[in-house]
Order: sequence, then structure tokens, then C-alpha cells
Amino acid sequence: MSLRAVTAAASAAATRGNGDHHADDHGGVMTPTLYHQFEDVEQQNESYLVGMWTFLVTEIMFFGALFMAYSIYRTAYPATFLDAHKFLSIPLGTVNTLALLTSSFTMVMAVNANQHKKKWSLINWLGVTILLSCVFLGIKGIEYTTKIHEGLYPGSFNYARANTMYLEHHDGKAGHEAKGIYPYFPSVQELATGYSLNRITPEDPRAVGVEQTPAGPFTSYQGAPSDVEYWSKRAQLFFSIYFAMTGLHAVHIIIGILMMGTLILLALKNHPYITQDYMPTEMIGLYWHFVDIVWIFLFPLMYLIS
Amino acid sequence: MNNTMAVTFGTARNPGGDGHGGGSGHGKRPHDGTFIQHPTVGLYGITYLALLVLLGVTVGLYYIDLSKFVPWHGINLLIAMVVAVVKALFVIRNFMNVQGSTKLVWLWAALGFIWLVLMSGMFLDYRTRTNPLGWQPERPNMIQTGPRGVEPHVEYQPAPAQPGSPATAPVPPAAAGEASPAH
Repeated sequence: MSLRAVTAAASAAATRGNGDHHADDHGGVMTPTLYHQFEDVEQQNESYLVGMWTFLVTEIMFFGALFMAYSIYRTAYPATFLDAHKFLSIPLGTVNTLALLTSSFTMVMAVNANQHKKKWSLINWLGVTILLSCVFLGIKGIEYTTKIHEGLYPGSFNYARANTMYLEHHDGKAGHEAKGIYPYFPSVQELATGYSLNRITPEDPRAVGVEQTPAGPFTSYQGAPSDVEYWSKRAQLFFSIYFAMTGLHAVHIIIGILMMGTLILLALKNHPYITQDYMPTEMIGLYWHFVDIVWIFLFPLMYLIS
Repeated sequence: MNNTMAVTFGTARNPGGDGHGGGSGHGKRPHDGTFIQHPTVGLYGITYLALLVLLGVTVGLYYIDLSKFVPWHGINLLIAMVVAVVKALFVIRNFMNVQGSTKLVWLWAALGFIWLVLMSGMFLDYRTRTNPLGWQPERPNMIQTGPRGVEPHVEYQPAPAQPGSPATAPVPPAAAGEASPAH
């Protein structure tokens, strides 16, 4: 039986006022509870979708405002954004994007499994989706740790020091010439002492505004030429926007993981939300696809500035 | 109990009174946006592969500088955004099943993105601003400067009084015994 036939039969059965609840038929007809304000199941499903899309429109507004802020500052300071984006690791970002695209696919397969009343298929697909999003969060954690090690977070921002550390980690090369070293994870010694292994001293011709005090997480900028100070402030804009957008996105991913975990629990308990109607799963799927779309736009705008 | 009238007299979605649904409506449901249709697994797979290909295009675009072929440095960004929009359209159309949904759902989805266009249009005002956005501009020839270039900041001085203007008009002598407003 094709899915169209299944839904049509469900709609017909519901409008008949079918009293028998064969909710646990495997491969049978799903008979969702038809609430009295709806004419038929089709209209009920449509109202569910419109409600979920209303929420997604508010989320579009939420992220749209941040994207707008990004666009305004990117057109204002294009050279700064081009320079600052080198701290973001493109291989890690690509793996993150792959993970989210695949999780979108596995989510839609989970919804499909629910539509065909395959309980264990649903649980497996949801589990894979959660796994992929945990991979995403793990890689984000690595990226954030690297940023904090470089001192590029709001509150301790020191762009010249971060640039110096970048050169130290990349043997004095920058941009497209620096290959094969990013992503790096700072060693325990580096994390503990704050000193990097190939320290650039102020006499070194590659030194970029190196301050005399030792690098540490709470060192403030002192004695800089004024242009470097403004340069640091402009770069701080890029990283503030980066943390705001990716942080907000990561919060949405965590919420999505909780929602999918809830769906798995409901499925394990044969709750009517899963067995009688596929729409709850479809709505969580809509949310997850939206989160994926936000990342699809975030990745080229943040990581792939050229 | 529910919807017996709908079943008897028929609604827009259930024309005709027969309660059996006419053979499950196999292939007889109109494709006019009043019913929700669901894609097949094959469509999901093809969409996923297309998304992967487009991701490869996006990352490859970063390493290929298209401004060698087109005399505009923003061409890379434009094509990257077009590719991102196409990816989003694939996800929205196939994974979120907007194509198989009713027209109302399609309208709701479109409205969200129309709002984004409206907001961008509202902020085009920033392109006309000549003052730097808080900190010093990067280059003197950026769009932030006005047509006369970077204008030096000069403290405001009122124009010198011209003869014949009210500023230099003779002040009439105060009438004797007239109380002035200050007292």
C-alpha cells in the first residue's frame, strides 16, 4: 500500500467516526484521533504543519537578525573579516556540515518509518540522527576550546596575540600557504602555561604587534599602535558575531537532541503520539531541517570567506 | 457522531457522501494543493546526494578564485550564496515536504523568507551612510565616505551674521517704564 493510500484510508476511516483503535497494526492503517474542530485528518495535519511553520518563521526572524548584523559588518569591514576567518578550521567545518546534512537525511527517514508504522526502524533512524548531532557538538567543542586557547573570545580579546600564535603554529605562514597544520589541538603544556612551543619574540621580523607581557587568558592589550588597536576591535566584531551565531545554533541543536530523545522514549513506550499519528515526528523533523538550513548558510558565510 | 454531515453532504476535501472513501482514493486525489502528499524514499536519497554535491561545490568555490574570469571580486560570494539558497530549497521542498503540502503551508514557509527580504531591504539604508560604523574605516576609499572624500571633523560654527539679516537688525530702545519679561 502506498503512503498516499494509507493516508487516504486513514482520512476516510476517521471521517467515518471509526471507533476501533487498531493503533498497533504493523503495516496497517494509522487512525489518528480526530479532534472535533477539524473536518478530517487532512485538515488536522495541515493545521499542525501551519502551527509548526509559524514557530519556524519566528526562528527565521531570530536568526535573520543575526545574519543581518553579520552582513552589515561584513560589508563595512571586508578585509578584517577576510583576515579573521583564518582562525576557523575549514576541514572541521566541512565535517560538521556533512554531519548535519546526513542527520537531516536520517531524520526524514525516521519520519518515513513512523508513517509506515515501523517502530524499530523509527528508533534506529532517530538514534543515528542523535549520534550525528553529538558528533557536530563534539567538533564544535573542539573549535571553541581552540578559540579560548587563542584568546579570541569576548572578554579577553587580543587579536595581535592571536595572530602571533597563528604564525607560531603555522611556521610563519598565513592564509592559503599554511597547510596541513589546522586543525590542531593545543598540547597540555600549552594549555597549562599559556606559552606556545615556537614562541615569536618581539625581535623576530614576523612579530605582529607582540606585547611584552607573557601571553595568558586575561592579558589585556597594552602599548599598541592605534591602528592595531582598531584592527583588534574590528576583529572582535567578527568573533562576537561568530560566537553569537554558532552558540545560538548549538543551543538549538541541543534542544533538537532532547526532542528526538523524547520521541525515542515515546516510541519505546508505544505512546499514541507515535503509534497513532506520524505528525509529531514530522513536526520535530521540520524543526531539525530548519536547524540544518541555518547551518547551511552559516558555514559559507563564516568559514569560507575568500 | 463526528462529521456525519460532512460525510453526507461532502466538503471540499471529501466530495460525495459515500463513507468508504472510494477505493482509498488511489491516484484519484487532485493535485491542487488541497491534500498532503508524501515523497518516496528514492526522492529523499536523491536530494541527499544533491546536497552533498552542492557542499562539494561550495567548498571547491573557496579554493577557486572566480574573479579571474569575471571582473568583480564579489562573484565568489554571490555564487556561494546562490548555491546555499539552492541547498536550502532542496531541504525545504523535499525534506520538509513543502511541495507535497497544501498551499497554505507553502505560503507560511514562503512568508518567512519574504520577511528576510523585507528586512534586508530596510537595512539597505546602511549603504548610503557616510560615517564610519563606530570605529575607523579600513580604507579611505570605502563607500562610507561621501562624494567629497573623508571630511575632516570640524566643530560647528554658526555662519557669520550678514548685514540685513535679523541678527544684525538694530535693537529698538526699551520703552521707559516697560517691564521686561525677566522681572
